[in-house]
Amino acid sequence: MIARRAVLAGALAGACAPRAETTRTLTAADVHRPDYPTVVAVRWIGEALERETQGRLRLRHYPSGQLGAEDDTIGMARFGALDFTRINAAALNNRVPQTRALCLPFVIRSVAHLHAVVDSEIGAAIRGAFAGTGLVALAIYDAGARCIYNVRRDVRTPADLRGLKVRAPQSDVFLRMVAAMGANPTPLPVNGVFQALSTHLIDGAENNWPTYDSARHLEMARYWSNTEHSYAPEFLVMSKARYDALAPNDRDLVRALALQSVAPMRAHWAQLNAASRTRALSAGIVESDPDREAFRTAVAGFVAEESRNADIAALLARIQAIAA
Amino acid sequence: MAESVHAGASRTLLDRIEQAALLLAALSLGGVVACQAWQVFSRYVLNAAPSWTDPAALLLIANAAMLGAAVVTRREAHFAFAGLVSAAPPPLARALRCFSDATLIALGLALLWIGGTLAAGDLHVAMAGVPLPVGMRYLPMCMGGALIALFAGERLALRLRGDA
Repeated sequence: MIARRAVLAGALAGACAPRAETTRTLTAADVHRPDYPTVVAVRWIGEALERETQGRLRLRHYPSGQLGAEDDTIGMARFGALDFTRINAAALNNRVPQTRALCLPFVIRSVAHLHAVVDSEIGAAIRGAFAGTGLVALAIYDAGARCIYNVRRDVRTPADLRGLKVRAPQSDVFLRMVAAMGANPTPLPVNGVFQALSTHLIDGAENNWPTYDSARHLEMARYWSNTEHSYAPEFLVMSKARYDALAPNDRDLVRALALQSVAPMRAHWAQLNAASRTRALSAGIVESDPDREAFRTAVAGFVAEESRNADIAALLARIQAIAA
Repeated sequence: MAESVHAGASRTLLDRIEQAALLLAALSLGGVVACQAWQVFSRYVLNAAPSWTDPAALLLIANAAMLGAAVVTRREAHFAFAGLVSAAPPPLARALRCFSDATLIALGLALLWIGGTLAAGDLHVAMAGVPLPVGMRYLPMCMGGALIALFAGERLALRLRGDA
């Protein structure tokens, strides 16, 4: 009886609440697991949002690919069926060509350089290039340096990659990049890589330390080569339809919190990156420093081809001019 | 008399559409098998993996599923909860059947509308791996939705006339 009365009172209070129409639960999706830095960062945004709005705006996060692959969640966000999704730059290359500038090989020189680029007007310009896509780019997160690893041999030069099947994300830029580096690219979704390595469908892949470690690729691919060919970052994007449905103050709040989430995310990422490398090395993998100049020469033609796009060429010139 | 001839003609036309949908669905399934076979052959034997096989197979399987769903709607061979309808007295059962047809029409039109919106918004974006626009991905949904609405509409018209 008491419970029923309490429920009725609660329902009545809910119906009479003056701000009821602005109370919303926002949804977010990610293909990474719940403890991955991007998921932790977006959860942090949700908690801050709830705190700042006294619970008016909440966030529910669906990690581990519960709502589908990155490409699927782009469609959902564009249609307004989802508020936030975290997408790797590779999956945005065709939709927003400017994101290619951050993916192309040997353009970004180091993590510090990536941070300087992303935090400058270049980062803002690339985020601005999402206008008209049905998506709003809120933040750019780290995804580490991508390196090549394989089951066969120590890779020091492009010639060492000849005949090796190397997995690349389903992205034209990455497929052509891996081919230019000397390997046979095989497009696969990232969660198929472990099995593909164990069945010898592929000989290797290219990714960052945390993926190499946590997805257990290191159990098969014992040769890690520090090519650091791409620093392709992650984008936190929001559905334009859902963004426009927010009150102007809430839009500013969401934007501000997304940008604030970048610094803790980077710290968390750096920590995870170092821990993953230590774990991999203690598991007995072979790490080597390849001839990066040889790889840079190998991909020069491909980068020149991509630079035929005036937008990309302009961005590349600005990125190169940034110190660090 | 004239009206039943007309109904007969539209029925023949719908028969043709159904056959065409079924044929296209079967060809799509065959296409999926061909894509996958070529993928395995090129990956393991040629040592050169093509990037188009996966997205093409996904497109074809969506095509087969949506067209198959439309054909199944016309044949009333789909999954259904028949308990309530068979327990209800005849006039109520008829009303329930009409309600289910109307629901299917609404669903088909929704698929057509949503699929059309998504396809139109993505026609200028290239798919990764295949030289096709991303919008193509939503065309099977559009086509299937249109056919489901059409076939459910036919069923409803027949029922209202008392033929089914």
